[in-house]
Amino acid sequence: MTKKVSYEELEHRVAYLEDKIHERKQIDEELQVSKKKYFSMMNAMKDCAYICSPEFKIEFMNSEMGKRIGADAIGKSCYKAIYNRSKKCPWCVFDKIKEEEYIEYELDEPKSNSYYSVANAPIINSDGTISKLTIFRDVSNVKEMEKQLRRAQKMESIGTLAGGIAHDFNNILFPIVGHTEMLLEDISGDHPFHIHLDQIYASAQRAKNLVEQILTFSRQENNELRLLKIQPVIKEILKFIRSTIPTTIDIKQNIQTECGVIKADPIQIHQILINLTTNAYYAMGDAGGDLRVDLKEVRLSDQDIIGLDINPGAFACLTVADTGVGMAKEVVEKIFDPFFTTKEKGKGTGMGLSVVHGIVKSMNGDIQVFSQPGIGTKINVFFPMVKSISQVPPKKNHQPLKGGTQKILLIDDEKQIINMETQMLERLGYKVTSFTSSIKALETFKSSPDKFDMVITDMTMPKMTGDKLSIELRKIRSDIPILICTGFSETMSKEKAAFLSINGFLMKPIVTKDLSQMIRNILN
Amino acid sequence: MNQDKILIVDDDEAVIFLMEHAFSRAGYDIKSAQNGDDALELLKDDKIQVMFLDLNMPGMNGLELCRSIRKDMPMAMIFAVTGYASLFELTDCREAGFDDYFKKPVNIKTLVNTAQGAFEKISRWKKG
Repeated sequence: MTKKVSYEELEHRVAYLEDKIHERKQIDEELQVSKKKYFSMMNAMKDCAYICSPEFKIEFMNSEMGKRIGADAIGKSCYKAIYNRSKKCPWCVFDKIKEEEYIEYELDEPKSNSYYSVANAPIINSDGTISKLTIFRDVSNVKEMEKQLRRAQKMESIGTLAGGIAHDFNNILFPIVGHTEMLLEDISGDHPFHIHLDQIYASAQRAKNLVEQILTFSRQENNELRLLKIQPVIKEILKFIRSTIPTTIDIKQNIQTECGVIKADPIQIHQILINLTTNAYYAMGDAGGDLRVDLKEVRLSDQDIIGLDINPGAFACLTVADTGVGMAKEVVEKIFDPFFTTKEKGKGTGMGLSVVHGIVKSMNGDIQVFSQPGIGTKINVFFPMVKSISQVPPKKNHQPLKGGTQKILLIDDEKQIINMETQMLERLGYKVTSFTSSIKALETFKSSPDKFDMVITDMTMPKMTGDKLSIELRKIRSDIPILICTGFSETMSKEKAAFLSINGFLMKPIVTKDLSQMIRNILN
Repeated sequence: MNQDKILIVDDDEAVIFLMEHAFSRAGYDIKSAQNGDDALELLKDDKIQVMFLDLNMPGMNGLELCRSIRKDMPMAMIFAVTGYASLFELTDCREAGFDDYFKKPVNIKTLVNTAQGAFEKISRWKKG
């Protein structure tokens, strides 16, 4: 039997329920606010983050993570969606996370040339189970800096060691050279010993030159730096080089006469240029090619100096480029190491570029290398400017950079360059979508060609080069403006750009001023 | 054959041996010392006018030795021969009183020519 309830009682109960519903609503609202806050916090993070259940199912991932793996993978297995594996990853730390430990490790991703610091933390669920929160922090820049520091320390210690050895070495060489010289004088030219003595003498001379180079590299030879316009020095050296290398090599030069004054020793400029051009000649061989030597004044901003050990400012940029065999990344990393050589035994000392590096560093400058196997090498040497031409009209430097809000598709196979160019473009107001793979960029463009107002692409990239990519992009949308950035002028001349109907091209290193101007020219 | 005397000071025996040979076959009489003190002692009795000094020596270095010799022998021809150019700059050497400066390994012919020139100069001064 149903119990009769009085009207008052009913009213009381309804009021109670209403209260409860109101309370619940409030809690719900608060929960929503909190959830929203939590989501926006996770999504505002520039680091990739996800949470997965003890069964390795992704429970949550932030938008950066989604961007990285190209899809929202909530509900899917973490090993499949993130690492493309068929079962649990061998390095999985979930067992330790279950014991409520906090685990941090470093992850190297060779494909994109990136390093991540991966933090794993336990999240205790209301039912007592433990999920794992993983955050990937991109530490590639820190790693790069560590590498530079290690290299600098290595160079310094080798320099100190070499300087110390050089002195004793010269003392040892002196009797070898001297006695040989006397013997050579004492015996007749047709004596059978003569040829051996010649060899001893020549080898000792080579050793002497090597010691001289080591001393230059270790910067123990004090050279007199003075204010210098290096144009005449460069022109004189080029004349000398022209007379020593075969005519199958075409020397092109573009020496900016207005380029300002630097603090240098002409002999050292000589050493730098001779070393760089000899290497360029060696890379091209007797088959020939183009050797380009340029000098121009550049103004480098905060973004331009990423990866370089110099402060922003005006620099004289000496460029030596060749169309030779080029170098793989592993070789480029070692070229400044003392005694590293790719030349056959006896042909190179492996000191040339170490010497160049030593000199440039002692002048507070730095060197930038672009190389692509089969295409060529370009080396930029930056010397700090003492009296800059751009100091003359100072107003020009403060002209605001012209920006825009258009959407730009950016492609370069080097992640560092992507980071740098993205920063430049975003500061100018543009919206940037970037790719390190030209193939992936093409796929994205294919699926939504109208999402972009302009394409900026690198020229030399694996699988599909910038010019081929441009042709493909134009097939999809014939009016898409394309700007090509290249480290090699040989593969992209004005004529070729016109032929491909590319809207413009820029030479690396790219400076913000040129980039902003070029984009405005194209989009206007 | 002339018998002009040359003093060689170097802490490296192999270098002394080499220079002794080189100069004696060119007809010079050689005295040698392996440090600055011995060299000064030697010069007390024998006023040798042409000398080749190493710079980087234990104890008294070549610059100090040269200054010390110059005080008593302003007309001497004193040459520096060094393996470590950067430790001792040319300007320091000139200031200390050296007439010229050679980096090891220097050609024997250059050294012999230098000695010859030095003796010619001294004899011209004597005549004048």
